[in-house]
Amino acid sequence: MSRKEEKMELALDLDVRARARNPKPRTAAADECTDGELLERIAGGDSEAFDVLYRRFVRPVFALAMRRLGDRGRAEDATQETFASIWRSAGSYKPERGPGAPWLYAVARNAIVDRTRARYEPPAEVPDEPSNDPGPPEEAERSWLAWRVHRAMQELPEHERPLLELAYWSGLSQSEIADFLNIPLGTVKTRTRSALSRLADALEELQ
Amino acid sequence: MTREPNFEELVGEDLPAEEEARLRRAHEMLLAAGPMPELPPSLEEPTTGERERSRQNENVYQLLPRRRAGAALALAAAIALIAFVGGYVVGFRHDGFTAQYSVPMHGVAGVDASAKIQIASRDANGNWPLKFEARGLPKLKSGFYEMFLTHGKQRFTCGTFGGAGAKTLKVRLNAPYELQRGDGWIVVKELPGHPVPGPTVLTTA
Repeated sequence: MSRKEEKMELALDLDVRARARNPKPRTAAADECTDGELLERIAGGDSEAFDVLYRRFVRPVFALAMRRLGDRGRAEDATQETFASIWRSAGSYKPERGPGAPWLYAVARNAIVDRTRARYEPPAEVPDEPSNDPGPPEEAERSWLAWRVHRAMQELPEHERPLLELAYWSGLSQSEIADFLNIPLGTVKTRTRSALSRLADALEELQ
Repeated sequence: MTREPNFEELVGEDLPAEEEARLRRAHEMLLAAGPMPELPPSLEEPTTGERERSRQNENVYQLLPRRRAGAALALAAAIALIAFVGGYVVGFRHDGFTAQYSVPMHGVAGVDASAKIQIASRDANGNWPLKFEARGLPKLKSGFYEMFLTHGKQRFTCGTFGGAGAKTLKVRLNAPYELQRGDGWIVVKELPGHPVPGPTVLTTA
């Protein structure tokens, strides 16, 4: 059997993926709002704005909850509690104090901390040697960085985001990605560079 | 452990220094951030807004004149019926499975059947949920069908099922393997008293 024949034929359906992530048509206005503008609209009871904000942030919130709680069930609860808090307290967001993403991060962190406190933890024995694990300041810095990166990833077009996910988080080489997505290697390289550039733009905006 | 991507391989070596530094910062932040987990089905759709809004609405009400109470009750019953039917339809349609791509299968010589495997995103436990749809797989009086991911001569089972004859068979399966290491999929027929694995009936080759 030739090498070509051995390759699995994978027909990537980007339209299916795009529809799955954005199942309902939305007005352009809400989609084009900044995070802060969405929060202001949510404060006025705008459910469409809430829908847009949810899709932008649900994966970063869930990732943060998983990182802090380490348990999918509790992370799901914390994510739902975060969005309930956003709906309830969007009115307390003050745009003059800064963009929406840090405010949302604080709301998510508080919901997750509440969930952490709810867990019974037996008293730990004092270790004999200092731990190499990151301390609270380092962990906070890492969480904030991950939050920004994950939020920025949500800004990437549907045909670019999977390339970075496969390269960075699934450990696939460029040629393996080309095989996996059934697209030419040249396209993988072009889209990957474009995705990194777009991500860099988005991260600069979120500084 | 996941292989760390090579920056030069990703962006090439022909970038201006300033652009290269900018992309390298994004590259390093991606590495430091770590993966975003796939969402569980319960978080695929926002529900909080609706729930909260209805909770708020519960506290804002007005007593109706008595003559309108009957009409209001009828309206409430109609809304409840619509909500029930709507919820049923939505629940029936949205089963938490989001296909990322699909792989067609065809019958081997002498087998007039075809199939499609839909593959969802891998979950945090390493499972790839699959939806398998086949037409023309005969019902077996005894025995069953089994689907495998293949890698050369190796086979990795993804589950077993029965045939549906002329009707379309739809079944949920799962692959707890690195799919990118596979080179195809097959469905075989397992019959009692016969060697295992049995003859291949569907393949992607």
